[in-house]
Amino acid sequence: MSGGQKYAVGAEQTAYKWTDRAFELMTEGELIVSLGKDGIVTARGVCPRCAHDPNYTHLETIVLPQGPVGTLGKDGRSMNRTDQEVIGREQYVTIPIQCACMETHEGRPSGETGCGITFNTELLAT
Amino acid sequence: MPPFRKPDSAPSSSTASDLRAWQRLTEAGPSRAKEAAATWRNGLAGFVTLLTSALVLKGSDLADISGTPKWIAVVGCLGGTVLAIAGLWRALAAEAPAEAQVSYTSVMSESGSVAVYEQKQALSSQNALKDARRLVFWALVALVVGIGSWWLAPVGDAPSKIKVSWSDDSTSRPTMRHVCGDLVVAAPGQLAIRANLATDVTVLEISKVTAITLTGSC
Repeated sequence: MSGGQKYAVGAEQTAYKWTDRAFELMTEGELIVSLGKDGIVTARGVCPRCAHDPNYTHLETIVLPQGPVGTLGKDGRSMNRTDQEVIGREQYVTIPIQCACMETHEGRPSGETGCGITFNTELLAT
Repeated sequence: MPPFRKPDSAPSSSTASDLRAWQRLTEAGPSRAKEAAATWRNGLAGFVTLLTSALVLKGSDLADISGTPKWIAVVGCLGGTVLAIAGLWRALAAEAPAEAQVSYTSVMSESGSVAVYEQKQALSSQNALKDARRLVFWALVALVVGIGSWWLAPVGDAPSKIKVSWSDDSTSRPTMRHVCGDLVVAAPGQLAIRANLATDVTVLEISKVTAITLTGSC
């Protein structure tokens, strides 16, 4: 599945098979997804679709305005995108990963990277 | 507990666009923090200008009041102005933080990536802005107390009464007497004083008057 693949479009972009395959690769140690204490998500190793290095880095925690409550009352705070996505059961968080490989994939929009897929991973929150 | 497990579901169709939008928010963080600081700085600068102008123009009126209300007004107005200026200072620090030489290696070892470093800078600006907001809050409290005290304080009595000392020579030995009250109309060469709440008017020859003093009350 490597090299020369077209950029994924439509339902293929988020098909469950990529989430399933990513879990297999993580189990085999071929794909390493980590969520650091500083809020950096990284994915390195093998992409479930194109087998290139997904080369994914993502900041989970950023500084965002919190609307008009921050004027003289409550202050703004750091926002964690996974706040809304924490899985109720136990301490696992769902982290979506996008392939951001640098290899060429036909049909990829300019300015984009990767082969076009997004898959879910569930990591133990530390 | 394993470090990861198999997710139950695939990402939603909007996840990819959400991630891209999140990335845009991440990249805009530092400039957003500076814009917020600039807005606060502009507002505070106008506020401090207005405040100091008002104090310069009207501050001398404080002399008309006396006692505790005067000191509450002075401390409130000056304290509020100082706090507002301190708030402006912090807002300026948030908008234009001090710069220093920073090495790529140190940024990487402390933050892990430039994006995280920028987020830390944005958070630092937001914290400075948080300080500015707190200072402005207390400045407003001090000003409300100070101006309230100023407005509600009783104005000190202006000297409107007259106290006259005169020599009474109607007795065998001239005696020094005093009378205090409001000055009323009298004939030429005479002085007429109506004592407090009295209906009688004391009329004196000006030639017998030895001293006249203006006083707030008798």
